[in-house]
Amino acid sequence: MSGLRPLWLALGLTLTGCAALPPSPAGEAVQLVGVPAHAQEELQCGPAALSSALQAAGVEASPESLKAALFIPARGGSLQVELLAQTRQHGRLPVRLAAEESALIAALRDGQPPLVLLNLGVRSYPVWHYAVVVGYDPEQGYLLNDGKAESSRYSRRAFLRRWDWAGRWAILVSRAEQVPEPVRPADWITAAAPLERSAPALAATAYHAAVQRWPQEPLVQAALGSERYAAGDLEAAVQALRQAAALAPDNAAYANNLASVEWARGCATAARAALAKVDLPTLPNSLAAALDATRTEIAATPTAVCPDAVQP
Amino acid sequence: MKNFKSPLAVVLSAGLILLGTPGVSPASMIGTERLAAQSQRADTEARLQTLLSREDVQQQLTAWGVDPAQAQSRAAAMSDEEIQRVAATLGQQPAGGDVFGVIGLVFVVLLILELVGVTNFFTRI
Repeated sequence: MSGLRPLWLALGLTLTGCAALPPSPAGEAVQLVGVPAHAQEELQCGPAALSSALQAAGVEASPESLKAALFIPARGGSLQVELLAQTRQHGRLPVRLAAEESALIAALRDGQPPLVLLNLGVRSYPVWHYAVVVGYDPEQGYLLNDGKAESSRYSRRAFLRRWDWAGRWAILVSRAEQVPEPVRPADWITAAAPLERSAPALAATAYHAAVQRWPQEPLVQAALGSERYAAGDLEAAVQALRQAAALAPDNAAYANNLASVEWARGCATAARAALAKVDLPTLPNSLAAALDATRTEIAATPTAVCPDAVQP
Repeated sequence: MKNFKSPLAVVLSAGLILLGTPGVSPASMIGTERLAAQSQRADTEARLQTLLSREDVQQQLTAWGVDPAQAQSRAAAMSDEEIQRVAATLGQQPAGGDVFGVIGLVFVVLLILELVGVTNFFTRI
């Protein structure tokens, strides 16, 4: 693999040398109001940026109050995972955005300020910085709350390079009640799922919002099904999981969860039918183990009586 | 002593009853975090397989002595860590949709080879 290094380097140089900036996204300028800018102390861009984004989402959390939880003195900054965890702690969803400029602009047009990671250095000597994007203008570029008392203007080229060199990492700090426009289903569910342990009601709200937005998305139905099951609502659980299994008939994990819930509500025949189509030997080991456990479980007689009218 | 013990016993048995309540998913349910990770992985795999099944990509692979079928099966067997690298790399391509239009076929094919780890290719350059 090391023999390729010079080739990579050459290609990399060519790439940076000749890559033209993609055409500016069309449309009118957008600027969000109500996203406070915080003048940060040294190295405190994480708390400052998260505080801005949380306040824009209706949570009063000052940079000072976030500092203890976020700042890691030894690293001279805050980690991305800590930002995600703190967002959840404050009752909001940290939703990853697609690594596309169009996603940032769509979020702004939806009234959501993306929190981004920037690299103010170069690729080999990165200087990480968090900021909140609060405006875009096809003529003048981006407006960022980047740790000063006022928003700063970045040319489009300067902003995109810094964002690109930081892996195009961007999140929305979102309320659970409504899915922001540019968000993709798997990213929303990924943001909400850890809340099942710490704040189940909030996870449930997020899943219901997801079903409203994407009723035909199997992952969303499966998430709602698991959540309803955990809440003890077996009928709603089975409805959602049947939908998930019907929308993605080849997905063994959805079949497994449907079978588990059917069995839990006393419908052993339906549980076996849900698993019948799954071809165990083709599955990865960890998944096969889970399905095997379910098969063993549903071989026993269920304790409940199946409420379905016809149970052959 | 007996009086002291019984309220404690009540509290403890209440705790046990709560633990036994079917509120938490049983072992046989696959958790949503895992379902979401699986879905993200499937998306990335699909993007990579779409790239690998393009005729011009396959021609380039063959020209470099790499069996396209081998590259495809290698891509299908990637670990979670590898697939995350693929997602990050594919996600970093310049905005504007078609990666081929922006950075060219040869670069994309090299990228794919690096990502799916077809190492014996380098000895043949």
